[in-house]
Amino acid sequence: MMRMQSLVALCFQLQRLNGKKPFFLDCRKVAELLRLKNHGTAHNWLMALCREHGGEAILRKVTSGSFATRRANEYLYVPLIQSGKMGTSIDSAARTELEAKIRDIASDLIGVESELIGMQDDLFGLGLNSIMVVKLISRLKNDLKLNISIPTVFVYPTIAELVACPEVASRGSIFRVDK
Amino acid sequence: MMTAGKIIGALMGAEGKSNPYPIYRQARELGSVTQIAPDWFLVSTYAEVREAMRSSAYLKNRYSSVDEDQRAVRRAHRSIQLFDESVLLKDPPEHGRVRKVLSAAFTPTRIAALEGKVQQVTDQLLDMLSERASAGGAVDFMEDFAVRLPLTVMCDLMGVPRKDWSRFRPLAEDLNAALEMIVDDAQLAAADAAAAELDDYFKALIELRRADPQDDLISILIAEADGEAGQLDLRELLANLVLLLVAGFETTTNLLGNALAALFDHPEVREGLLTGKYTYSEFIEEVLRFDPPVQHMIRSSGEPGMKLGGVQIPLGAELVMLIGSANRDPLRFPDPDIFNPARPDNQHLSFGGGAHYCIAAALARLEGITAFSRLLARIFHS
Repeated sequence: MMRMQSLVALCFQLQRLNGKKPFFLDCRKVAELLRLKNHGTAHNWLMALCREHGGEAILRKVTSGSFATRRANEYLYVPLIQSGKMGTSIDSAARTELEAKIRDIASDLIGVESELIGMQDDLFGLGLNSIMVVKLISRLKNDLKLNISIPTVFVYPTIAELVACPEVASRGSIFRVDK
Repeated sequence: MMTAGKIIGALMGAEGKSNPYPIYRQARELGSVTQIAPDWFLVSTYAEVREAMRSSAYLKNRYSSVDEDQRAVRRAHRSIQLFDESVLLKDPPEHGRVRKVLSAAFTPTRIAALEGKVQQVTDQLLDMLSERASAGGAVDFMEDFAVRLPLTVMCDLMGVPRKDWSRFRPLAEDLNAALEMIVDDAQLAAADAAAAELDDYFKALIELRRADPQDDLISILIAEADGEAGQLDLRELLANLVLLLVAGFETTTNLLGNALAALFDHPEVREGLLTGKYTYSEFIEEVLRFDPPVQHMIRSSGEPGMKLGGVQIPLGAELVMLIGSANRDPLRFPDPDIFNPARPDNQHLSFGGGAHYCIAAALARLEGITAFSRLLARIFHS
């Protein structure tokens, strides 16, 4: 939550400085603010964040540089932030131990801090890719004894949906203890 | 609410595997280009799939992906590496060099010269089927014909001993899993084991041919690899031999199976072929459109600032291009779910497009046309 607020605060600060004109925010800055492992994840996270708040109209990405020399700081973003709208994507926190454990695994894989992952967030939207899906499945199996198939994660892409999906709900989890 | 991610999930499920076409319709209703994840898109309509296939901005090799995790995974698996080193997943400038070498083996003249061979193998296999059936035995069209025709022709073309053909079927199945959009660890382990076995097989065969060259594709490619010009390195030689043999026949096997299914589902088409209302060529084209052997293809964006179907595609983003959906796009094909061999201008996308257009498309067509003209002639005119 702290990190997200920092990002929002930075956006507003820059916007003020710029006199409401569009401004640039790069992946490196986001990675730094959110203490993300790599800039690619920062890019994913920034895209996801801005999509939450109105898609392309809000975020227009300007890219430059060649493929071979792609670097995070070559990605420039022009967010036109709608006042008060950013930073509200954390719609719900984990309510059960199972939700919290899945959130922590997702956080580990995607590289987004646990507290930034809401139960209603689409994990793919946060940057889950084809490699991470396979890792998620094996972590769920090994750590939580949950047998979830790959297609299930696509059909139930949020943690809230995942814990309620037939494959999980039918098993009577020992983790389903409300806090 | 339907999303691109849910469509992927549905396609990977049992329902999607047995009949993906209703799901493809939902994908097209959702949009031409829809987002699964920030760097991951689904492309479902004809114009957009075709554009992405033909544009040099969309690369084949996911190895060039910016994601370090993905790169590490690709390096760690021999099965994936084999495809990465083959012409299938090469990008410019390497692609042009390797493609040119392989193209020499698939010129229209060389394919036309194979016509007699394809007829001969088809007739031998049909003889075997009919003998077995006359003796009261069961006949499995897929195992006894659809696998063996393209595999035998490819073995002969390449110079792989025919006696070894039965080894390749299970290896192909295991290895080809590495080409799927998502593979789990067990599938990858099986694919790697198959890759290792094929490596050993072809290394031994390369040594044999190097010592005693024959009039076959392996000897031609060895000459290219060993020659002064050095158009092919040894790793590429190995990878492309595996690709041609193992990845090459399964698609034709599926084409033959889909064609037989179409004849059972559409008796009027069978009549039309026998009366000459439709040509066998038209029939095979419609089978290819209606049920493509390769249902999807993956490309990665290699240029910044790309747009596809009005959607911005970030550099490095992956596109899942649904060929089976593009071929049923009503904007391109009127009444797309009707099987109609007389369909005008049947430019389906089943052989891909652009620089990676199927190198052996003419051979696949020849095999399809020969197989069904001989099969129907034997059943209905004897």
